[in-house]
Formats: sequence, C-alpha cells, structure tokens
Amino acid sequence: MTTQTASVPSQDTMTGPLVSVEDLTLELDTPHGTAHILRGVSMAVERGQTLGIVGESGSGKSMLLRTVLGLTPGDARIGGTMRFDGQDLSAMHPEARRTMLGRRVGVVFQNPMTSLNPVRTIGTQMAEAVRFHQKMSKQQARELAVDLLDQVGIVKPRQRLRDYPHQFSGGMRQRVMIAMALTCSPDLLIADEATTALDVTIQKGILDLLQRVQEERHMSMILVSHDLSVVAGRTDDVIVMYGGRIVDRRATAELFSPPIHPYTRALMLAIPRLDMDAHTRLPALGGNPPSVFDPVLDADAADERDGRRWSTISADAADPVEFRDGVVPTDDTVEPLNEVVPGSEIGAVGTLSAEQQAGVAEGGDREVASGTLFEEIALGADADEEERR
Amino acid sequence: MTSQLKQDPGPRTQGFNAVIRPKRWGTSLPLVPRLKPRRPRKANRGALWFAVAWLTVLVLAAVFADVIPGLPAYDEKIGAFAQPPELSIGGLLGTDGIGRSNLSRIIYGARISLTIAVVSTLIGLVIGLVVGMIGGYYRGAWEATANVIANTLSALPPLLLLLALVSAIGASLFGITIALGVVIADLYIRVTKGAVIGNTNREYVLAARALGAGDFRIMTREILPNLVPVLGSIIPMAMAIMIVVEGSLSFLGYGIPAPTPSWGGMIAAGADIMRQFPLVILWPVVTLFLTVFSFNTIGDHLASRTDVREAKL
Amino acid sequence: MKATLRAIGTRLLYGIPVLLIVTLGAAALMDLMPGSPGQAILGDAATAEQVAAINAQLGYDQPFLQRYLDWAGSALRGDFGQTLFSREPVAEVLLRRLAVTAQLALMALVMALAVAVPLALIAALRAGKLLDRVLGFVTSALLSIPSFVTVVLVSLIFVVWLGAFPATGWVPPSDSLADNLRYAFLPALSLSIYECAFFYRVIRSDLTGTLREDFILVARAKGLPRTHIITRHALRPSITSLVTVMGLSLGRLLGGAVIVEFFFAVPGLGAEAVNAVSIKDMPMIQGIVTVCVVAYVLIFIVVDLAYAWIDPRVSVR
Repeated sequence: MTTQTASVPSQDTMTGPLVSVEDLTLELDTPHGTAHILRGVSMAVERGQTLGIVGESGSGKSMLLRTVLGLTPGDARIGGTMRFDGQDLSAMHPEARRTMLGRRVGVVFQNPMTSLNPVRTIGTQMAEAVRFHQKMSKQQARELAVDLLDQVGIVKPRQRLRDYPHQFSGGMRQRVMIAMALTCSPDLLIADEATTALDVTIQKGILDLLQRVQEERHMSMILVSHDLSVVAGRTDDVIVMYGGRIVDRRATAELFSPPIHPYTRALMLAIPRLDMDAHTRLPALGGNPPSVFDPVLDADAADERDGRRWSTISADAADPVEFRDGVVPTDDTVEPLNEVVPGSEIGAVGTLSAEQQAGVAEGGDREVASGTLFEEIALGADADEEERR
Repeated sequence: MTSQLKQDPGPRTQGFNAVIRPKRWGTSLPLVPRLKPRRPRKANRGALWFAVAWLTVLVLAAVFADVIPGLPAYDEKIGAFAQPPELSIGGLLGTDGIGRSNLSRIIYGARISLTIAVVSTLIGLVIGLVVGMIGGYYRGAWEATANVIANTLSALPPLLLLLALVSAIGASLFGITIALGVVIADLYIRVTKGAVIGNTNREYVLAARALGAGDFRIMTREILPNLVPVLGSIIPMAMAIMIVVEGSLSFLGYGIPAPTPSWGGMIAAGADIMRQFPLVILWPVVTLFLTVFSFNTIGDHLASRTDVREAKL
Repeated sequence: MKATLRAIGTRLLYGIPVLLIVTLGAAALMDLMPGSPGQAILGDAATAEQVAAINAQLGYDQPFLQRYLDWAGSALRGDFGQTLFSREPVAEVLLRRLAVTAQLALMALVMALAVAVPLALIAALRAGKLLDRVLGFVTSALLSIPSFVTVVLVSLIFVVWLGAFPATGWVPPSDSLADNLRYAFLPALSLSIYECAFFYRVIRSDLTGTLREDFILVARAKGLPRTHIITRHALRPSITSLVTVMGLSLGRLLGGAVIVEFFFAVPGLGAEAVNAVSIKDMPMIQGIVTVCVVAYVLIFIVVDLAYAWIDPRVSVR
C-alpha cells in the first residue's frame, strides 16, 4: 500500500496559503435578471489544513468552489482575486487553469449516482485523468487504479475495474469517486456535499475515509456541507456562508463556544437533540435569504427600501433587534449569553416578508424551544402564518 | 422569558402548495399541467408569431374563399397560361399552365389541404387514443394487441398502404382522409400507449381508484388530461406530415381529381413546365413550405414548453 | 450470449404474426380495390369473357382464402410466383429492385450522417450561440420541405443549372461503377437532405442533454481537454435516439422512396410498388410487402442490440 504525498509546492510561497480568495464576486445572467451569486467572499485554505464550509442551499458554497476551479458557466462574470499556490488564477487562460487545477485539485461531488459516466467502465474513468496529466501508460494507470481502489476499501479491485457504475452501490460509488480524485496525487481535496446523498450509516465511513486519506497524504481539504455535524470534529477552521457572503469564520474548536454569531447559533439550534421532548418545535430562522437578483448591496440604502427589514434574532419577541451589515448594536435588549462581541464583523442576515414583519410587530403567539444550553430564541414568523391561515 | 411549550402543535403545511380537497371523488389538481415558463429567444419568437399569423391568414382565406371580392373560381380561365403576376385580385400570383388563377387555386387548395389535415389527424387521434389507452391501461394481452396493430401499420411502407387504401376506397376527400388517418394512427397509438403506461402507476391514479372511481372515469378524467401536453406537441407536427403526404399523393396522381386544386397536384403540374415557366411552381411550393413550416414551428414550441427536464448549470 | 440469441429468436418469432397479418391485409385490400388483373392487362376494350378467361388463367376465380393460402404455401418454399406484369419470377424482380433501393438508402444515410454528426457536435458545444440557432432554423426549414419539392429543387439546381448530373435513369454498378454513382447521386442526395436534418436535431438534442449531466462536470473538474470530453464521454450516451431514428429511416427508405424513384426514374422497390398497385399485381405486391416486413423486423433486432451495446445498463430482454 503506497502513500503518496502531495506534490511539492512552489518555492516562493512555501508558507503562504494553498488557496486564497479575495473579495470574490460572481454574477450570472439569467432570464429573470442578473443573479449575484457571490458577493465579496474572502477566504483562504492553508496547506495541510481542513476547512469546512457550511451554509444552507443557495448560500453560494458550491458556486464558490466552482468559481475557483473554473467550472462556472461561460458567461459568468467574476471579480476579485483567486490564487492557487501563489499563482493568480484570473490571469491564467481558462483552459490552462483547468488543466493545472485538474491535476492538483481532486474533487468529490455530491451525487455519486450521476457523477460517473454510465456507459464507460470504472477503470477507464479512473485512468483517464492520470493518463492525460502524467502521460502514464495504460498498464501503469491500471495498477494505480487498483491500488487506490484497494485503499478506499473496494474489494477485488482488479475485477471491479471492468465493471460499470451501475454495478456499484451509492456508498461504493462515492469511494470510487474519492479514489478517482486521488489518482493525480492532488494537493487539495474538495468534498462538495460528498455525503449528502448517502445514508447516514454510510456517511461516517466516507467521512472517516476522507480524513484518513488526507492525513496520509498531507493534503489540504475542503469539506462543504449544510450539515454542521459533518464539519464538527473533522475540520480545523469553518466558515459559514449565507446569501453569497461569509457571515462567520472561526476555528472549529470555537464554533460551539460563545460568542456565537446569531446565524450560526440558529443553525445549531435547528439540530434535534436527544434530551428534548417529543414534538418539540425546532426554531427556524425567520425570513428568507436575500434574493440573488436584488440583494441589498449597500447597508445604508437598506433603510430606505420599503418593506424590507433585516431578520430579527433576539430573545425578546416584543422588541426585536435589527442587525445590519458590519455593526452590532450594543443594546441591552440582547441577552448576555447571546451577546455578540460589539463591533465584530457580521454579514447581512436576511429579509422578512411583509406578513412576517407584521407578525413580528404584533408580537403574536410564539413557539419557543427550550434547552439547557441555549437561550430561547424568537421563532420565525412562519408559525404565525400557519395560525392565521 | 420562557413561554409554555405547546404540545401537539397541529399540522404544518408550510411549503405544500397542492391541497387535497375531496370533491365527489378525485383530487383538484389542475386539469392541464402548468406549462414551464419559458422566454424563447427573439429569433424563435419571431418565427412563432409568423407561424401563427400565417396559419390564421390561411385558415381565414380558406374559410371565406367564396366571399373574397374579385376572386375567380379555381377552374376559370382568366387569361393566357403561365402569366406573371399582375395587379389584380385574380392575377396576383399569375396563372398556371392552363390559364387559371394561381391565387384562387392556392386558396381553394388550402381548403382541401387543411381539411384533410385536420380530419385525418382527428381520425388518427381517435384510433390512437382508443387503442393506445386500452392497451396501455390494461396491459397484458391488450397491450400486445396494440403493439401488433401499431407494428403492422408501421411495417408497411406508408405510401404503399395509402395507395392501396385510396384505390380501394376511392380518391375522394372521404377516401383520402380515411386513408391518411389510418396511416398516421400508428404514431398516435405508440405515443398514447407510452404516455398511458407512464401515468397509470402514478399516485393520483391509485388515489382515484381508492376513492372508487371506475376504469372509464379514470381513463377519461385522470389520465387523458395528462396526455394533453404530449399529444399537443405532436399534433401540429402530425398535421404537417398529413399535408405533405397528401401533397405526395396528388403528385403521384392519386389525389383529389382535377379540376379541384390541391397543392401537390399544382406542384406536379408545375414541374412539367418548370424549365420554361418556373414561376408557376413557385407559388404552391412556397405556400406548402410556409404552411408545413408553421405547423412544425408551433409543434416545436409546444414540445419545448412541456419538456420538464431542467438544465443543470 | 445465450440471452442475446434468445432475444433475437423472440423477436423473429414475433415478426411472424405481423407478417401474416400484413400479407393477409394486403391481399384483402387488393380485393377491395376495383378492377381485376384481367382488366388491367387487357385494357378497357376487352370483353367480359376475355377478362374472365385471363382471370381464370391466373387463378383469380378462386375464393380469397384459397388464393392466399396458395400464395403463402409457395412463398414458404421460396416461390413467390410470377409478376402479372411481365411474368418474371417475383423473387428475381424483388432482389434486383431491392438492390437498387438499398443502395440509395445506404448512400443517403451515409451522406446524412457525415454531415449531421459533426455539425451537431459543433452546435451542441456552442449551444445558444449564433451557429446553433442558425442551424436549428435551417434544419427546421429543411424538415418542412416535402420530398416531392426536394426532388424538384435538386433537379433544378444540379440538372438544369449546373448540368453536372443526368436528369433521370439508372445504371447498375455491375455495368459501370462511375456511371452508377453519377446516376445515384441526385436521388440519394434528395433522400439525404431530410434525413440529415432529422439526424442533426436528434443528435444535438441528446448531446445538449448529456452535456448537462454531472459526469461531464466531473470530467471537466479533472482538467480533461474539451475534445476528449466530447468524443469519449458525451458522444456515446447521446446516440440512443439516433440509433432509433436511423432504424426508422432505414425502414422507411427501404420501403421505397417512392417519390424520388418515381421522379428520377430509378428502378427501385418504390417505383415497382406504385406500378404493382396500379395493375393489382398481387404476387408482386405480396412480395414487396414481405420484403418490407422482414426488413423491418431485422432492422429492429439490430437496433435493440445496438442499444444494449451502447448502454450497458440495458439488457436485451
């Protein structure tokens, strides 16, 4: 069983981050208008470190990775800088960039059922990347594939090379994808919702495999998920995305200890816990993410827009607190345990629809979840809407 | 700041759009599935509007042919043969090889072509729906029978079958229409059967059965409306085929007998004098082409509107 | 292998009832048509007795079922009788004519594919751009041109204006290959125009669908070059519709490209069919019908096998 380490990074940037992104913006033209998918994202991945990216659907986490990898649709407009191993990616020709990243970044995508070409054998698909990038012979590539399949836990790898994807189960297909991503000994491994489509029982196996592989090869890794539990305990740092921006960024170890960003806290509160009563209503964050077609780009202008308010998160339903870009109010209405360090950077959290605002103003009946560790939190106005119907 | 935790909150219907309200039976899902919103690009839109406009004009002209002022009868000799177009109603498109008004013959020919297209489509549709529905719904031996019928119809070269049928029944409007209807039925049988099989196992059919609906009711009130999008996109194309095939029959001499004009016959006649007088054949060719093209464009558009495959970025 | 053979066998067996029904139906249809072979051969001037005599000679005074069974019996032994038209053995005429039609059909298909496949590849790559839309429009227009108009236009361009090809006629390849191709070119071209437009649309539509699949994204993420992705990943899953359509086209073309053969005076199956129907040449008609059904069954066996080869998930039932 061979252990392959990541290729040697370039000399000048030995100590710099492997991937760094600064103020990245992504816009797409759609029939419904221009979609602002990424709105000023800055992040970095250090060598040998694991980064977790968490966020709900549509928060931009997958598109962030695709932008860096150069896999966005042709007419996308990208702003800001992206660097890989010190090289400016925007300055490169798109084909050259894809070729380089293809070799140095391995990606495992979300859906193992559709990520493999159904009419070609596993063997050919595993071999093609390494044969193209490193000009390996058919024989060598095959041996490498057998070895990798073995490492990821596929039994009888040599025979399996001639099988087709539909002859593998979902979990096994994902293992094959992981093996495929490792063929060129990448510096960075990206797992984009790699376990979302799998059974919970299989998830752990895949995640353990990813961790093991990363440690053995000293690769950097990015784990993307909407599930906090995937990220907890397996990453060094975590960033939380919402509405195309990064709203929270901290070391994973500190994720569960205060001060906690309100959105992150809301995410955690949504996780069911065994010590809760049956039929406990889990708190849902009110409002919707900002529309990609008309996101509030200017915090000051937000006040002037009619019918828009920032989503409210506070313990006191009768007196909601507004959070706006960049500044946290030092109001007393914020409970001490929920206090966010004043002046810390947080992002826009969202908007309430007109009905929801009315609900907030009325201070109607609210469901609250209770737990020993967390304070009560005002539930989103969804509940009120239901009652009113 | 603790409120009482309410037990048993009640049904959450957030995000669930369709509400099941039992009527006499069946669900109140919309009868015709909503079309996917689409904004076709400018060029396609132009083509679509042209197609609709052209067909409208054609239908109106054909229906009101008798009352168009100044339009000569289609078998009336209005001048010398193969005259170029001139500024009179009758002579707008010139004359054909015998001296009859091309415009008039084209308009009256439109009557024939459109009538044949519509009626034969209806015939084929009825045959196809009945056979396909029964075969697809009951499966088993019925499906095998439907298969045999469809395969038999398609195994025969269509023109051969047409020629034989037309010879047998007679080259009249009636005969040709029936013959065409029979020949195109195979397409409708296949499409219907496929769609019915796809739909029969859906939950709404099971729901209807559970509520006590009989087979006939299910077929007509539940499954049939769901066939509308699929059929809607092939009907215009099938009509286009009907027009073309009718033209072919006329071209071969098996169409509506002279002097009743038909586009195919006009093209055949025009082909004879094509070298010296190319204009004569031009008009029926262009008209035929525009008509068929319009049907195809509309059919294409409907097909893309009802295609539910979403594009992934 | 055994499964494949069994599947082939099943389909062949299934073709038999179709064959029976079709030939029976053809015979019945001919009977419904007015006139009799005697009339067709002797013309209007003949007396009733003369007509009856000819009919008796040809066995037309027998009841319908008797005639059919007679024919079927001989056919199973390979004897398809003689044509009423020229007293030649039907089988010989069939083969001769079939060869001509088959040549045209194959030429047309090859020409159509040679143009449609590359164009569809390019268009799918540039989906939504100018070339794709123009081609879409052009093919839509081409599909709206009936074959009898196509032949007229083709003739106009190549015979009248360019003068490069003969207007009508046919030379068998055994006589002169070069001449044969000259005579075959225009009919094949006329046939191929429609097929080409059809193939193009089918391939392009399948291809754009395939290019949206996840595994294409994966291939791009691997950094593979575009040509590799198109040819090795996208092409193969996209040709299932094409295979079906090719089968249908071949069946249709073999059934006699009647208009084209009629117009260009090509001695093919279609022209023969028109002739046979007009004079109620029963043996000939039955022969043609048999050939068509057999061809149809065989083509679809091949198509089904092709599906299984293309997509390993499909097993041949």
